[in-house]
Amino acid sequence: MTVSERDVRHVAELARLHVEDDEIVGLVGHFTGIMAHFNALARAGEEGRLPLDDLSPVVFAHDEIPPLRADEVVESSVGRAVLDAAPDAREGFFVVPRIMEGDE
Amino acid sequence: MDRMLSADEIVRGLLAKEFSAAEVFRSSLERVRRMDPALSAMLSVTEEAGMAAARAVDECVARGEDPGPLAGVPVVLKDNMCYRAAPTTCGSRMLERWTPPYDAAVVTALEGAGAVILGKTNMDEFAMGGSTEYSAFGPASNPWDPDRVPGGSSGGSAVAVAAGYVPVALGSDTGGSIRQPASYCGVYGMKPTYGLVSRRGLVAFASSLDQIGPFARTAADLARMLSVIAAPDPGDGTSSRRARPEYGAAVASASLKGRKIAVVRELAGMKASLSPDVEGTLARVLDLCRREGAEIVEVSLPRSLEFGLPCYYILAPAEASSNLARFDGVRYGFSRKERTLKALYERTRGEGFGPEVKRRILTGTYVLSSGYYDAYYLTAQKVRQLMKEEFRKAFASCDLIALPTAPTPAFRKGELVDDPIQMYLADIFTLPVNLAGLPALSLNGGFTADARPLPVGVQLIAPQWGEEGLLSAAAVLERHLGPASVAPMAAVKGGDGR
Repeated sequence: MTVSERDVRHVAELARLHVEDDEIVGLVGHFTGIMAHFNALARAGEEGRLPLDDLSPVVFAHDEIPPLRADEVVESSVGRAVLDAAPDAREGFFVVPRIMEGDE
Repeated sequence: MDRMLSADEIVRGLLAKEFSAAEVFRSSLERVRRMDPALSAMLSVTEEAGMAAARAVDECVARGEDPGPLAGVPVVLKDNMCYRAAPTTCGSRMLERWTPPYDAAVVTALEGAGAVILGKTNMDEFAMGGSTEYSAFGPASNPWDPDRVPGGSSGGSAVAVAAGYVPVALGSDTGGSIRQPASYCGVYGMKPTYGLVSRRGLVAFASSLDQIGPFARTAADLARMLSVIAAPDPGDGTSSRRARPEYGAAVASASLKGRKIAVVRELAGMKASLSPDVEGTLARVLDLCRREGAEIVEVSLPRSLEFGLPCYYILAPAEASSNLARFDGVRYGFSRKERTLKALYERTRGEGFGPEVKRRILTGTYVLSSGYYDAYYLTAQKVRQLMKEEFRKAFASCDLIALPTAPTPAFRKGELVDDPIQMYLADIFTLPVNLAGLPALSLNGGFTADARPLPVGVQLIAPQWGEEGLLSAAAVLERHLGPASVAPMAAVKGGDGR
């Protein structure tokens, strides 16, 4: 399976990541290289070389199921500081460009 | 204070009033000032906060109170751990000017133990890389040969310990990012069991794999650090609630008598990609184990070694693509002013992230996208289960598994930076440990015969929660190999003392 320039641009769109034209060729090459490794794994699964059928995927790396926290309200003390560190904040909110109008 | 003291020696000397914490801190600062222009291990130095902490320790000692198990010990943190006294950049333009409003759990633990934080260390951007060359602020250098990389992603922390800035440091390890730089720089580095150390305040890369761990030059210091940072934390949902031992006891009573240490059968078929120095060093260390009464056995890990790499490079980028979605130009750090929200996201991320982070985000988005999720992501999660099972079976017949930490000693700067897949191959022996959630450490087993000798690491792997076994083995080997050496200043300056 090959990876095309269109695939890379599509994934970049999904990831909300702007990619310059001069980055594309390198990315296509990288994808093609890494997918060869991934496909070897996928093939081993499909060809039955790996007994995957009755296997559940890993959920936790260790065998303890993390317990739930007590259902108690905890006041956060950093709310103000988080907003202070934001690129733009006003009246206790993050500021973003308008999304209800414009040319999107 | 010319000799590089261990954390143990600092605490003892402080309590005996041989020197003060302020003196120790000043001596560390001085070493950073002299050496770091050549090594670039530090991204920030917290002189003011550190001096205040050192003075507080001195006052505590003067009052006759217990100043804590790391009293006056200078420590550095990888720059992905939140500390209010300095920016947390993650080696990225994205967070260049972002100072967190809270401390990571490990920072609180270190401060509570009397440690004195000296600063934050250089790293591959968002911990993605194995050389620190993907740092947005320039690469760090290996103190044994500054033309070579120190490894990564926690390269700066390994350098700080190897160059003698500090006796101990913290790093994070997602696929080998503590052990591989420890190997390249000739110091101890431990990746604890997943869930042993809280990640609250660690900027997430791949949450099912990330774990914080210590660097040190002695097994005793490694144990001392681990005892301080290994605590249950309700603030990290994956933190285990089990009781933790005091790890120093494992070092004090260290023995390998009757222990079974396994070599891995498949390694014999991988010789082509293994440097002779690495092979020789592993054999030498195994021989020392045998002389100490250990039994050398053999186990087989075929799936972990064949499929660990693709499995990891599917799962880690998948998780990274999700974790790094938060860097959107709205809430943190770098932001591009744009007219639409979509352009704000895309341009901020396009400019704020460097090339390797972009590659990983795109790879992760790809394997999670419609039509590919089952073939790649789900398959990898199942193979991960097989690998866990494979290790579980292996540990039924042994106490520890010995492997190289990396296939080669430190490579040259620039050698692999444009060939990321070759760089990924350097992780082949460390990734399976993260995928299986196990603890492992890298210790220095010796040096190459080069004109500029390079350290060569050996990796020991234990079953889950088996840190004491690792520390015990390391302490026994240290009796033969000595503590990790501090790289000589002459090597840093280019061999002629300039």
